[in-house]
Amino acid sequence: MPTYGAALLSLSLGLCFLTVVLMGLFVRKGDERYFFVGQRTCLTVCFLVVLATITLLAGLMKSDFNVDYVAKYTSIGTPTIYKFTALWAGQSGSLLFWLFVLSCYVAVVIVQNRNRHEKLMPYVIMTLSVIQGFFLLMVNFVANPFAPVETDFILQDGLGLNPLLQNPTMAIHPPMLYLGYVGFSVPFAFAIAALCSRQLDAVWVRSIRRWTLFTWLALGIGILLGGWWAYNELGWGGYWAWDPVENASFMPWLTGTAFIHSIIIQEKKNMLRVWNMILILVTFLLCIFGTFLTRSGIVSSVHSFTQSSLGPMFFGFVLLILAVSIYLVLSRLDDLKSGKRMESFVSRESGFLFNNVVFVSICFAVLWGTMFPIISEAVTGTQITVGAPFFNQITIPIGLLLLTLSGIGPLLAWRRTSRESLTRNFSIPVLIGLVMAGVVMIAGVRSIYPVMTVALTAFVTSTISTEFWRGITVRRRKFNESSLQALFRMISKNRSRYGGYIVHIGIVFMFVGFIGKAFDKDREWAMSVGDEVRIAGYDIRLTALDEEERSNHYAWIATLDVTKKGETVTSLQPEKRIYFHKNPNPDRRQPHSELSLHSTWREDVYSVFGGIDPEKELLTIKIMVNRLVRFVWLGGYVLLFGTVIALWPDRRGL
Amino acid sequence: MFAVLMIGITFIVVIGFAIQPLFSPRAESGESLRSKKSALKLRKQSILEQIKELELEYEMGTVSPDDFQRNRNELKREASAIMAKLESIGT
Amino acid sequence: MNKKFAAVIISVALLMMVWVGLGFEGNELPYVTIQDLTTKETVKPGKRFRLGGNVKEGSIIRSETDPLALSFVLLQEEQQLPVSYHKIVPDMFKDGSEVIVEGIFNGERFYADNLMTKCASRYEGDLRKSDTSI
Repeated sequence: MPTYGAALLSLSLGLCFLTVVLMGLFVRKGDERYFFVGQRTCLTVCFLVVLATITLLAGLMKSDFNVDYVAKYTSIGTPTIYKFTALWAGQSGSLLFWLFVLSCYVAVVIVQNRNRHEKLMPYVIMTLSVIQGFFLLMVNFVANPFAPVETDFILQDGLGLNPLLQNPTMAIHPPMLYLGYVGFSVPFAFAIAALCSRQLDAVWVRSIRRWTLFTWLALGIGILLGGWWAYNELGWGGYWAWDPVENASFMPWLTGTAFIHSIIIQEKKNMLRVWNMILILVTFLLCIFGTFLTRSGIVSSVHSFTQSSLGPMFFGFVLLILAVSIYLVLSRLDDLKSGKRMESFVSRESGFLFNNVVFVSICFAVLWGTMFPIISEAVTGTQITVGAPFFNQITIPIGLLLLTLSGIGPLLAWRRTSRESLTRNFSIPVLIGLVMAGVVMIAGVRSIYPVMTVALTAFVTSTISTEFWRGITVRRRKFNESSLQALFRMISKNRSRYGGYIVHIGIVFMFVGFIGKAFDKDREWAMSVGDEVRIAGYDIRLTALDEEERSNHYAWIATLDVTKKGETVTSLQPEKRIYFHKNPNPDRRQPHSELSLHSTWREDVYSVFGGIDPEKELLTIKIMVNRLVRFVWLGGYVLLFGTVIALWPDRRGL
Repeated sequence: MFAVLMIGITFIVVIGFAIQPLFSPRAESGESLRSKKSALKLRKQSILEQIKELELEYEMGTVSPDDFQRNRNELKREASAIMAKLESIGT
Repeated sequence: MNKKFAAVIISVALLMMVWVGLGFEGNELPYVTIQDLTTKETVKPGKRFRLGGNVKEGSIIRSETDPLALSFVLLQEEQQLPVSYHKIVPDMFKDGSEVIVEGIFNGERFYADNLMTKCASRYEGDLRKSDTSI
């Protein structure tokens, strides 16, 4: 099996190189046969990569410990589902998985566009093949997933998958992120193709709109799932830590969000062509750069793979993309300029443009904060890190600005908005916002950001609902429809617009969740059975401590009865586990805290079993009361729903 | 042995698939006019959609009558310019 | 109009950059060595620092009266630094593990308010050290 897999990978590399050459020949000579062969070699590469992935999967399933990768990430006792997910648990496997996703995308792009975009496709295929080629080089020569085991004895069992990764969310989080990261290759390839062929009108933008939206959604969901996993598994009680690797995935999401807004202007007004080009190039660059950060180990992070020679390779690739992009944009600058003008500051166009500036600013802030340790070390010799407080301080106000724009933008007219429509559209929402701010201030909230967030969420919600309500009213009057009918028809007639509004509502929910953070409470105690503690109005009593031996770990289970004003709320059972407890080598035994939480819309009671002194039967317990966290997840669902509406295939085609 | 056989079969199938178009006659591509036309058509479609959206927004009361008139005239002018271009290419 | 627009956009962007620059004020956390702590005069009481190193074997002492209180010795090659910590420690914290601590230094003892473990074997195992072989 390993020989077969390795052979598939080297064959793919050769064919991939051939594809690039063939496409180059087609562009030079114009003989279509080159193009058709190139298309087929490219499809073949995709097929072979899929085959290689299946081969590795088969090895993982069969526990073929002759393969180094299989032995490192699975053991005989690993449950089948986690043998499957081990595919992306380690360095080389995840590179192959990346390649697998890319190959699936490439195949879809080729099939989808076989009779379209004759001018663009040769360059699209060439660009995608270069990207494929880079990853194929990596898996062939730097991190080969089919490399044989290096030990001089025969392995009976593998090391097994890290227990932290043995979680259902971990089965979907990385693939989702990859769908997102890798997906930006396609818009990138179309952008490069548009530049090369000088077809810089709205065609390329139009053809990748849905791709971009899908990719953006996958990346967003991937990020959210990561947060969900951290919250439900890691036990520090939060979902976002501004960890370098989290930031690395957040940055392309930000520029990608800017891009999906600003291409609307290019589609409608044929403006911002240079800007859109730069945005998508930067987005893809950030995707690769993010991978570089994760793989190189130059920043310290919980996510880091071990340091490897992949770092310099990725860095080289980043530089290559950067150089090619800059050259292409500069040499095509005259073709890119549209000559159209902005007419007024108070217009939909300028709303979008400001939204873009703000998104890019957040991205810049995140990049700066992430890279600062490295930059400061290079300049002053001392590594200066900036933690979560820096990021929060910077991004909260900018985020609120963005929230404001999402309320204002949709109600502005294209080109220019007259004063009378401004007053008509905004007086009521502004009033509602101010009233809400007053209400929460009377309720006793004094800090500035929560009050502002409440006011802004109210403002945005009311502008969006006004849009829906007015649209429904018009349809009811015009077509004599019922409200529900009108709502459905209205949305289906203009899905991208109303889907977009729904996404905005999702973001509003998330902001509600984010303010909850300001009211969180947490404390740690040492407790023995019978002790009772109190936090945020809850009385928490440790009623029992049990021990249990399970298939691959040993567990202490604490039972905490939670009551509020005498009424039982719930019973929490956080655990302290020792994985591989039978292992004779104590260094290989792995302690793990399994948290337990009770969630409501208002707040979550979150308990962590910190540690145990078995002789004294004394436990350390951490209790957190986290407010409004559920709204973040709700926002995620709404975002998903809205994007699916916008993505839903159009009956008219294209 | 089995692995070598598998590799051989995969190799032959794959190469056969890829080079098959080589045996078809030489063909030149000439589609620059077509792509120009499709770009113009796309632009036309986009403008028509914008006019519809503008009308809806006007009826909803989001856009004032002044803005509506001015924007619609501009869009219509652009639309007729594109139609003219399309016609001149078409002949 | 386009020039005016560009000017406004650029000034907004500049404003954002200034805002980002200001954000560092008071949020920076220098990553120092034990040597730096004891020799550099920039070390003022109350200023927070971040240090990395290993937990000295056998140096972890838990308080008899308060199970949350903990002290250990941080090791950086020859340099040693006593550290106090008063919170639940991460799962991977034990003798010899690689840790990062953040907190303040009072001249002889480091009071950490944040402790993270860094474990290379977390994602990548080493088969040579494996004891599953026969």
